Amino acid sequence: SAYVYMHTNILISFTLMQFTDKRFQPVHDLTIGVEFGARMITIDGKQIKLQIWDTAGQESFRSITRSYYRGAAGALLVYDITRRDTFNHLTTWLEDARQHSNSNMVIMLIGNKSDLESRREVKKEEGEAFAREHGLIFMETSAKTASNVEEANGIKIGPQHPTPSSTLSGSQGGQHAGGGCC
Amino acid sequence: MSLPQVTMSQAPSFEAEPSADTVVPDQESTQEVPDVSIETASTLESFEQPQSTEGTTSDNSAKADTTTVSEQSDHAAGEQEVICDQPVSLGPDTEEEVESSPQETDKSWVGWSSWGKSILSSATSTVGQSLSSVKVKAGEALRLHRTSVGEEAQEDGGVEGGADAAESAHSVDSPTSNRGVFSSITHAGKSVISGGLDALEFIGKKTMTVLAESDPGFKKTKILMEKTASLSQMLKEAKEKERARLCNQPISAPSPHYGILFDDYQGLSHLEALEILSNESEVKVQAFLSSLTETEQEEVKTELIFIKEIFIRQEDKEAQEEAEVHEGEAEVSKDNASDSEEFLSVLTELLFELHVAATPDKLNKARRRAHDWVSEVERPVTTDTVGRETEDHLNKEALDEENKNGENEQEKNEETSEETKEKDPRSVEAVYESSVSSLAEVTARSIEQLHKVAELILHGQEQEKAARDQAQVLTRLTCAMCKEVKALAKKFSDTLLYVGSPKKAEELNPLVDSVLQEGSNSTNYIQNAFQLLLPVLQISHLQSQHCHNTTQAEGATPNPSPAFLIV
Repeated sequence: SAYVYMHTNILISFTLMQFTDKRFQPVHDLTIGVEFGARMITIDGKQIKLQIWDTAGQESFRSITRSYYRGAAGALLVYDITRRDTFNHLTTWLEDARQHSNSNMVIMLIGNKSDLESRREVKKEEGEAFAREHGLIFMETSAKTASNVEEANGIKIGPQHPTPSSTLSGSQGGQHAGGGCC
Repeated sequence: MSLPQVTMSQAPSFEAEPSADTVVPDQESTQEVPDVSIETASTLESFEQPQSTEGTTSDNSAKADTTTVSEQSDHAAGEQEVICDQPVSLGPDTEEEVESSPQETDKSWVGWSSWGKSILSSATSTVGQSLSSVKVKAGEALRLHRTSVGEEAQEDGGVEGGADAAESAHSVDSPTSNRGVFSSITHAGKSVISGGLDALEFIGKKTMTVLAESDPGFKKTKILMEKTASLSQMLKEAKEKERARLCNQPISAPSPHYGILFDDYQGLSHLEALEILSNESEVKVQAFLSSLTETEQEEVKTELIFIKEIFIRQEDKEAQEEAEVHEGEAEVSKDNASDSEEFLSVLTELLFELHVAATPDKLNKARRRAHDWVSEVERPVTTDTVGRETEDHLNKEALDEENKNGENEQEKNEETSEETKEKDPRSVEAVYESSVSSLAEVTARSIEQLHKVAELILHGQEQEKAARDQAQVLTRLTCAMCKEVKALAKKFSDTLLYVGSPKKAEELNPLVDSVLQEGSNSTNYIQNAFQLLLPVLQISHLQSQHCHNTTQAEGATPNPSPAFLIV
């Protein structure tokens, strides 16, 4: 069981992978409950597996996804900067995550699709303010341009969790954007 | 016994550290300790013994004083710098300590091995050897450090005896040299400890295997022990072990491990998630029952038991069916052609009957891939000269496959053949690899299917179908999955036998057995996953049948207990 040092760049590059992967999936089913992704990363010469639990964003699945928070090492709360409704839902998801996870779970707020400036509905400042208010780490990313991957490099975002395989819940604020995430 | 001692001696070094930091230049000098001490050692040898007790006492005081004295004595030390550079202090003390510890280690290790002898007569021969080797290693490590420490001590004596004026400097210096000594001891201690732990682990492993070998009953208890843990945990451990093993032996033959592949296909995660839902539902069921009056309880319990019986009956049915399959194996192979369509339609139909919006897409795709590569392997290639006798038979089979699968399949086949051509998909290794991989994939997808069904049942829109009916449908669904996995395992082993026909039986049989074994494991996993659905159906039944009020209340104020009770 390896200690997991979570660096933001890992998380971000993971979301990247997730999102880009989805883009290339010809048929993107609506997430039922939870879907899984995994990625091997190397930190300090150690191979560590990041197991991502991508929970459904639909409101009706909330009672089920709640069950999965427990034991997660961290959570990525992702909203779409081009859709205000995804930002508006953040509070409820955050409440759920806080209430049903262990107390030291690191939560990171991610405003995705920062490349689509023209269609932006949520200002960066709003995201920053929300993160500050709730003690989250904030970042805007673009899966398309891979922006912020370098910038985030090396910021350790949490205590090191001695978990056999770390679990991350990626909650997508609001509904899953079908198909084109980027 | 000796281990704590070594660690004890390590402790003061931490105390000494902060004060040592104040004397920056001396820190460097400690690194030179070995060189200097060797030079001076021979000339000062005579001082060693008489001084040792004095050394201890002065050290103790030195330690206590350092923090206060260090600043004042810095001035005094300035003149004596040449002498101060040479490490002084704690030497004798630690020397004694270190000297005694190897003896004690010896004793304790002997004690260990004799203890081992008395209890595990059969295990000792091997364990004893490892112990003695560890003992020797530990001894060597300690002796090595002892000599260097001893030499420092000799110097120490020399300094003290030669110059009284150095005393103040001495007290300043001691922390730093302590540090040097201690760090070396720490190092030795670490190697002893890690060596000791390795030995203990080794003993444990040996004992387990020796016991297991001599006592077949123990194996049973081991299995029992494992059964109490959750399946996903068990599989996870097995997978991690295998991964560790593979890392240690990079040159080993490409033997695909089912557990690792199963995890790669996310089977483990789905199983884990299903277990979470199952446990949570179980807690909810129990909580609901305890909230009822006794008479109500009895009533509800009978309903729940009714659902449970459907689940249990399934196991019996499975056993029966298995027997039937064995009898009519010939029929099964005849059915093969129509099988593929049938599986999908059965699956779709059953899922439809469940009244949950789950589609068998992924499972069906995985299954199709499995069939595809088999037909690809069995399809004769012009240049290939694998067994002329079987070629005709295969020709026919391949044609059947093609007819059945249509043009799309053919396209796919071409794609895959392009991909795999370099690897030679007809080699026994490749076929074995594909077999295990396909079994892992189909099993993972089956468990995913059951997990999705569980989620959708819990998601519970309108309960259109009674839980007992759903239980029955699920039973049939699981049966269909298991049957399919069995058929696949059979098909894979046949393919293995076919491509491996020029090979010797000794070479081939283990692989064939292994494929069949993984096939039966796969059905076990699926059945285990199915059993996890029982509490899910039970809570779904309770929520639909009893007190809509309570469930609504639960929804409004989420009961925190379920989420936090699961371990």
